[in-house]
Amino acid sequence: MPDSAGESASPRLPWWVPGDWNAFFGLGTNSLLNILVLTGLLLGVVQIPADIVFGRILPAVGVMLLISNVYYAFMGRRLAKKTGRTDVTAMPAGPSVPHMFIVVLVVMLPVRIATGDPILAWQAGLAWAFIEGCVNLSGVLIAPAVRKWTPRGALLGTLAGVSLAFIAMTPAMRIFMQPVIGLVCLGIVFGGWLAGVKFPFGVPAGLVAIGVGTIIGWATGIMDVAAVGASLSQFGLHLPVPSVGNVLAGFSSLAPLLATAIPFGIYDFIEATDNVESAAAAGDEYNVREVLMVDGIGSIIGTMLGSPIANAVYIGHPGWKSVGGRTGYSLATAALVSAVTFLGVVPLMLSIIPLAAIYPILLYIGALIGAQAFQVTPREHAPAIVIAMVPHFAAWASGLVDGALVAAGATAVGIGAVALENNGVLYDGLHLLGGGAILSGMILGAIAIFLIDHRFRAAAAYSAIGAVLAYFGFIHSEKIAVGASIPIAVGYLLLAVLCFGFSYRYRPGKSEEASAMAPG
Amino acid sequence: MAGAGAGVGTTPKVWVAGDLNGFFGLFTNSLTNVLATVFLLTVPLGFPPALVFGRIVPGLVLSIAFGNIYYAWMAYRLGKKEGRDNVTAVPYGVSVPHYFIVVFAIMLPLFLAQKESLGANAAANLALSVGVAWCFVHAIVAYVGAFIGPTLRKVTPRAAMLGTLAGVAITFIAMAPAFQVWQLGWIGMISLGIISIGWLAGVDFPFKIPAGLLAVIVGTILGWASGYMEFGAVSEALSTVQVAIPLPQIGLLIEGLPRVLPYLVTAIPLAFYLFLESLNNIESASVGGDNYNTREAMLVAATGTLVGSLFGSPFPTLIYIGHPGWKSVGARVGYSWATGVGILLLGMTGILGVVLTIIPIVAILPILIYIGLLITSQAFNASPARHAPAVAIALIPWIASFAQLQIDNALSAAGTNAVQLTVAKLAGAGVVYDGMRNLGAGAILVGMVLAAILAYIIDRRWWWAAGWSIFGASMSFFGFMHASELGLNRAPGMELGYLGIAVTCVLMYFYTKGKKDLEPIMDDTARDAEPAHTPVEPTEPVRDSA
Repeated sequence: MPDSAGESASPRLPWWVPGDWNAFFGLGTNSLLNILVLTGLLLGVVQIPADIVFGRILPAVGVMLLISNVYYAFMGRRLAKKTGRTDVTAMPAGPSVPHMFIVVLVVMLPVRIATGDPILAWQAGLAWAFIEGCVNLSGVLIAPAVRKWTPRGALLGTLAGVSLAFIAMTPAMRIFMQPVIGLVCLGIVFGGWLAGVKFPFGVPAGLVAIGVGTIIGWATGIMDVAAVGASLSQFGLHLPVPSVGNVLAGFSSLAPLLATAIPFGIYDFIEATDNVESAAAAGDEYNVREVLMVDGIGSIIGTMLGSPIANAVYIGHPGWKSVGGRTGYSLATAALVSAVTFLGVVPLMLSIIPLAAIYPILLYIGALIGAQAFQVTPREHAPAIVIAMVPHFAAWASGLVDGALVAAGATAVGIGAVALENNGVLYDGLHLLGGGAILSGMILGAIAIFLIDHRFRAAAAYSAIGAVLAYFGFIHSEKIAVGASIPIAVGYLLLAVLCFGFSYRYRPGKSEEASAMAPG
Repeated sequence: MAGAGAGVGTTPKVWVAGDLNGFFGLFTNSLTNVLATVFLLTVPLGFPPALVFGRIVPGLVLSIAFGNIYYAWMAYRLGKKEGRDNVTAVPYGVSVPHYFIVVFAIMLPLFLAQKESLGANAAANLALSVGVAWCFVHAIVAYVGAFIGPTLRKVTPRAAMLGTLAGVAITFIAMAPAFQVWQLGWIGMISLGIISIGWLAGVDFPFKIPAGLLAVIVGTILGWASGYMEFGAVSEALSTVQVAIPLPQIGLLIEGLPRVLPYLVTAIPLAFYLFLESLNNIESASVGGDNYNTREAMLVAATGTLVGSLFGSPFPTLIYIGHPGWKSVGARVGYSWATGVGILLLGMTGILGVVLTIIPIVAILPILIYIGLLITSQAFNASPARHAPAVAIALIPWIASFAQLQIDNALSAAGTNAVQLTVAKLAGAGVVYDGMRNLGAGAILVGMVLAAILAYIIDRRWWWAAGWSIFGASMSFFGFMHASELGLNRAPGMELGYLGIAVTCVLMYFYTKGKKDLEPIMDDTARDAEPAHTPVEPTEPVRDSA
């Protein structure tokens, strides 16, 4: 780095600090956990052959995560040198979770069912992921503007919704399937990370939790020795192989579904933007364009090698920072993830460590992100944060309702909206509210914040944006189309008119006027 | 601002000009809540209309009218005694979180469980009897609350009490209305916008029209102009209108009392919340200059709930927040009795059913969304900022319970259920059904216990955390939480998990004992009490119910 002033201010920047253990166990296990879940979905739901999952897909995911984690560690070290601080924490990265479920259940599964060919399903997933990566990359151009014009509460609120719904809920439910392990580990995690208890010999709380959980798991007979032996058979070196042909092949079977990749690409870069915001709130100011560039390029490279899921900048920077993680944890995660995916040890790890020992860490992260949205924003904005969370609960619940219907061998269309409504499921409302939740949460949060602050023109501008996005189906709709969600677009438009009218009744102060002229 | 400020050495009047403002506000608020209960009873719950309009509503409006008229009289007496004409009655009405809880957590499961075997009428009667008994428990607790209140307040962190309420608020109060609002976006969103501008932004509408009323009027106009509403429904409702006099229904209460036992554990803390809320609001009235006799005011609130339960209403009532707001708009004694009389007349003449066919329900629902937002915000703002993760955890069992209800309903629409399908098949489709059921059963208690344990862990008050864990273990053992029915060890392993946390906390106590930087945090300052981050221009006080 040519920045000599920064370098002289920090003579020694350690590669590893004790707190990195905490963050490594958290992020490493989080990535690992998601890889395990992905493996389960690919093998169990889409029924892709094991040699493709372990030989082609997982190594590609490994390369993708290697690129992003190493680069973010590099960015963190560069920021530390530039600012002369030693407490800079790298942005966490990993496989995108909501994405994982969408690409498997919405894209790959229907193709497999329609054609009976799991390879075609994999190819379709790759094509979809490629489009998604390109859209994600386009965020480099517009994301900084989004961040500049959107109040912090709106960005953090929508993130709080994602994290409570998609990060905290499943682990919480799993904890109560093996409470003897899960609850004890939850107590240890909260004691170590929120009450600030230091464990003997500086052992990180995450490791204590996993250790204690593993001991309880084996002592109570929940874990099974036979599974360990069986898992050894998947050992072996699997290196990634370019799969460009497969990506191209996928386009043929996928044409109607490609448009759905667009909102997810937007979702990914907005989420990355939110996460950069959350890191900034915790004191580490990263260049959002650079973060997004690496995120997008990593995803596209991964796809070219055969990964149908995208890279994501993870939620959780403030959490890892608070437990003492700096940049070493990011490198260690990269090493762990590549080792695991290249060597085929995923099954072995699953057979030794009970997942219930890992879930409390995810629950903690989910709760912390949810809490952060309230803690770092003005308390008057709290209702706006809550409304930004609401669409995510709808999105999460609608995914589950669809899953349950699939399990029952039924579809919502088959049953009919009226029959569902008579049984107490407002299926249309559930999907409309949940569609494009990351964007709609942000827009609703921003409108509410501007109303609370009496900046009626900014509220009108956001309502108008909401109307446009709803009209084209980016929010409150299941698919992108012209006139996708007209009633809701009309609702936003009326709201915009109402807010604009009020801007004449209540003029903001002079200083507010400039910023109230938000994007048009 | 009629007569504010002046007034010493005068006598109170039964009606002043400013009472009209107060009447519009409080009456619309009460009417909205009564309409919402009618909606819940008839649509999601599916009770027979004869039961709803003939027995429940008359009891409910009687209990509201009792309180409103009594508090008007109390204000009149206070004015006379102190020689002032500016005494404002405390506002009073049905408690919003409670009507959701009794509908969704108590009556709905009972009704669904018995509907097949008993038939709709008998099952509804049975569910109602338990609801009425539950309401009766609230009245009893409110009576004794005066004595045990301070102790309970001391051992339960605010994050736990408010967190679990926030869980109900964001799921059952805010979500279902939100689905409807988005389903009918062109009506619902404009009403939501009006509510938000009036109450979130806290600004006045032309002619000081209350935001709630304006939202309903605009929504009604849009509903009729767009052809969504139908005249046929109105005339049909008109033809079924009949006068319903509130009658004592002691038999119903006695039938329900033995069955309410399993719900006592949740009823008592909730009743305690009801009591505290009333108490807080009397305190806020005395800050505003009207020093009521606290005990008498509390006894009246309890008696209002008791009257409801004796006359067939399952909905507890309380003293509303907002006395200073009504005082500032010039309301005195008249707005209170007028609201009581108005609500009583509407309920007894059976016009409510007609009102529901004239006003699109989606124009009223945004008020519930707003209330949900406000209760959830309050949980984060009225507890110390460091407890926010505990509040977030308290929401989680509710989200699980809400999602489970959606899944169960969807499966029943598909002609099956989770037991038939097996949890393994559901898990294969990404639905962790058994974990969801374990987490969400007894959500109100689960949320409170988890949040209390975690808040005390955050504060390093290890013995308190251990105590709540042991409480959690015993509640799980007897099936009050994490289990769908009472019984011994219904959810195996849960009590061991909670005991495990208790042991962990005790170990932490000995491990951290004497360490200077790990002393317990006793400071209980809420976020509310800290200086605001950004000044928000004070305009009209935000009015809200419950």
